[in-house]
Amino acid sequence: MEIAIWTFIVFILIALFKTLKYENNNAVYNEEQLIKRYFEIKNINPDYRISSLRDWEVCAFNVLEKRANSKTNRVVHLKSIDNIK
Amino acid sequence: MINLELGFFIAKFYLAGYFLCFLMSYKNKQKNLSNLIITTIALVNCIFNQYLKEALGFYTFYLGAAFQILILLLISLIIHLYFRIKHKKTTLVVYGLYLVIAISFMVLHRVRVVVFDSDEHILWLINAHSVLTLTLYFLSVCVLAYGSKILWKSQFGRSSSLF
Repeated sequence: MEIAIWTFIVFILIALFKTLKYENNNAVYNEEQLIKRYFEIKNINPDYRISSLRDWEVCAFNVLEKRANSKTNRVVHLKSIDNIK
Repeated sequence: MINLELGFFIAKFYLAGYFLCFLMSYKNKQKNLSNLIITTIALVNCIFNQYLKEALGFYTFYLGAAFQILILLLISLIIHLYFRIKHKKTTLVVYGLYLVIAISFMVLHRVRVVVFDSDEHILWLINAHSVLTLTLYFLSVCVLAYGSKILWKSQFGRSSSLF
């Protein structure tokens, strides 16, 4: 009986380490939640990702235009991403 | 052995502590579901334990206690895997505490039943062991409370607004 319990302890330790190794793969656990979150955002604002890309394009274009004139301000400001809260 | 009245008082105190942890982690279930699972199983085990310890005899008392704790860990692992819930660090600390308690139960069972076959000569060891296990249970209650409360502030905003 005691040997059975000791083997049970070892078995649970092995199961614990196997579980932690399996959980270490974050993608398996986060993929479903990320997809759900993506569709939530899509339902709220279908244009969300496209608008942020458009803002980034405008900013990048402005920066490229101004680069010839001024050498100081070369940072691309991501307006839509800066305001995320 | 400890006084029976003191023992019952400690048992009530710990039951209340587990129940408080259960309520707190139920409120916090969206952020730390892992803590809710381990707290619920521990609370059920705590209540069931009061009935089971009368049924166990001299030779199976500490063996049954160790077996119960290991079954607790196994059920928790199965639930985590089945529902695909990721373990939090506080849950792993509680697992470690419970494993230490189970191993200490097994060692005490070995010494009491196989080596001495009586309680008279090793009362000091049983006293020390009860102090150790009660301390570890208290630490586990503290860790459960910490795990239920640590993430409350993130309900009011995402981490990007903190910096």
